[in-house]
Amino acid sequence: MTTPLLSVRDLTVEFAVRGSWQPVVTDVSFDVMPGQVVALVGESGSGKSVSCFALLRLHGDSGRTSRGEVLFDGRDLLSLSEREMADVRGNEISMIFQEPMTSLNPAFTVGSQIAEVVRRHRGASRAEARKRAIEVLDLVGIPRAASRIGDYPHQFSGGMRQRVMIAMALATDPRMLIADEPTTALDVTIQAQILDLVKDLARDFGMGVLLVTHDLGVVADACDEVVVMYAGQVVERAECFDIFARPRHPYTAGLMRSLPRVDGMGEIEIIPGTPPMPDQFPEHCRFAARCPHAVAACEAGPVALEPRVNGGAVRCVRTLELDLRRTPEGSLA
Amino acid sequence: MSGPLLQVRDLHVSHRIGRRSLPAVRGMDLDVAPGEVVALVGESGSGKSSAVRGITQLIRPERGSVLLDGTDLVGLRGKALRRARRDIQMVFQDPYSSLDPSMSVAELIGEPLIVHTAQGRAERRRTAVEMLEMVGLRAEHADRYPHEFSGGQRQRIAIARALVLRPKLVVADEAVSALDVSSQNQVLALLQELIAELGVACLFITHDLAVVRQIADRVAVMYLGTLVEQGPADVLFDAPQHPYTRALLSAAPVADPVVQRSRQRVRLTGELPDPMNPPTGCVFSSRCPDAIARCHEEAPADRRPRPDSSVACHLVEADPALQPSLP
Repeated sequence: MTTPLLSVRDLTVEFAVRGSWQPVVTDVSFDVMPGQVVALVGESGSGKSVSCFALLRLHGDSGRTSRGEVLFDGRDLLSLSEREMADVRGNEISMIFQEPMTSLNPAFTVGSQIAEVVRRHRGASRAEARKRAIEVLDLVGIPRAASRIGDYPHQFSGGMRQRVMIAMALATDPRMLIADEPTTALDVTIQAQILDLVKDLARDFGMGVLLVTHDLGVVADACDEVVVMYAGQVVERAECFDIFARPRHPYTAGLMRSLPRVDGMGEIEIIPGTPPMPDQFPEHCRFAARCPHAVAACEAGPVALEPRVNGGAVRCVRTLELDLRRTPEGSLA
Repeated sequence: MSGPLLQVRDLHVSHRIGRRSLPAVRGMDLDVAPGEVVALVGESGSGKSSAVRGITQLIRPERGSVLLDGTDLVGLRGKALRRARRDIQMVFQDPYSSLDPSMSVAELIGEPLIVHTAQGRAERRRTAVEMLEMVGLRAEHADRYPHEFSGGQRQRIAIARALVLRPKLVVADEAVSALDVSSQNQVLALLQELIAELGVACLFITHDLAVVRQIADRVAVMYLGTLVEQGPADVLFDAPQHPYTRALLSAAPVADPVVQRSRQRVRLTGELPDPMNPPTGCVFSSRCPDAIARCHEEAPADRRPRPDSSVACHLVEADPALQPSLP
């Protein structure tokens, strides 16, 4: 059994709201093994991006991690000095953000921005850094990379800019990649190419990947493990094929049924209502108010994340009595 | 069967960039029947938004005609254009920038009535409240302002505003793309229900193929300013004919790992062409995995493999009964 590359334990993140600390993410736990692609799934406001920022300690002064551990290769990132953390970021763990236009500096050429990362973390010379920049731009499929490193971000299309971001993230051969909705703004043909690239890097170089997405198609295509978040908590965690075949939490099942599928299979069911805001999180099950299976027991008290049948974990008091599979005619053989 | 409500013929739309002209739509033919939902799909840069702007006369087309109920919108000006626009309303992508933050919800929904009807203040308010309830909001929301609403609620307000004049055609440009999954489905279901109930036709522009599959009667696929394929949604999804349509559909992931990981993807080769300098012959020839010599030389005419679909590809067999015989 290999040890996890990244192990997040009971991560709890609070934000200052009107003078008091408000928990936004509560007790988030999951592992990423070397070579594994783990999906962090949920709607906006579910806490998936906040969790990512928190584990790299990028949440700024308005947020704080009040509890939990983030073990990267056995080291607790939360106890490192700011200087040690700066060496981890961008070198051992890279992050790709959602918006490629705002994450690149418009005043510098893409080549110099990638080279800067290589020089900072690898102590490479100018010439070596430039060579590495061309190499990684080529790796992510930017045509004529050598002639484009002198171009500025605005001279690239949205898809190309996202590839530049990915190239920058990969330039130091990180052991772990955190990608927050890396393909959301991209066209499907480009998305498919980027996902192929991420899968290849995980498989060929043992890179661990945490892929934040709301797109279950992307999850089905690229991921090994799935972590589902709702209202700041992990509600279910399982192996990819198993969670699609048989979700054990009503929110997971609802999410899967609410998505139109490009192959036209399955009826669409809509989850009524909206998720609660952090200041309205109830003590009991946070999904109970929208759950079609809710009973009195769901509102009796806090629900723990328990081991799940077939591995993983689930946070639902009724999980053992519910069969949340799609009806046989809605599923494919 | 009555004729089409919207009949677009040989539409050309260009943008001026400095002293040069960028051809964004290059000869588009498209019909929308009364009450029909037609999805216009394509990737960024394909020209779908330019086509919409040309159709709604937000940009004056360079060439071609846009017949709405028999009236050509191209060339209309002033009062005549305003009158014609009453029947063609839009819902835009971003509900945060498409609603004036200084207007109350009742004013926003009632504004088109000032332009197009003789309704007085009280009557406009009554109509606005009716519309609010129709889109699933409540009368007490009428005096609130856009910032008090979520993205999904704002898009409901935008839909109410688009439908208040009972147009014949609603043009929805990526109307649900900015919304979160659960509100996306709620808004999509609402739009679908209202256009069916009011008998409004809809031209739905999107890059999200799963959404298309759910809402559209017919689908038109754009690539580099031209329509490469159009047909009934089921036919197009189940048996795409054009190599680009096949590539596009095969790239959209299915939310089921068993299905998704056994699918064959059509991989595109070559670089995205420069729209200033499109490839000779077929627009897709520079990236087409199936291209033959003829594709690089001669632009394919539309062929009709079935009476209700058309494909612009040299490699697609037309139904001989539907095609004028070749010399």
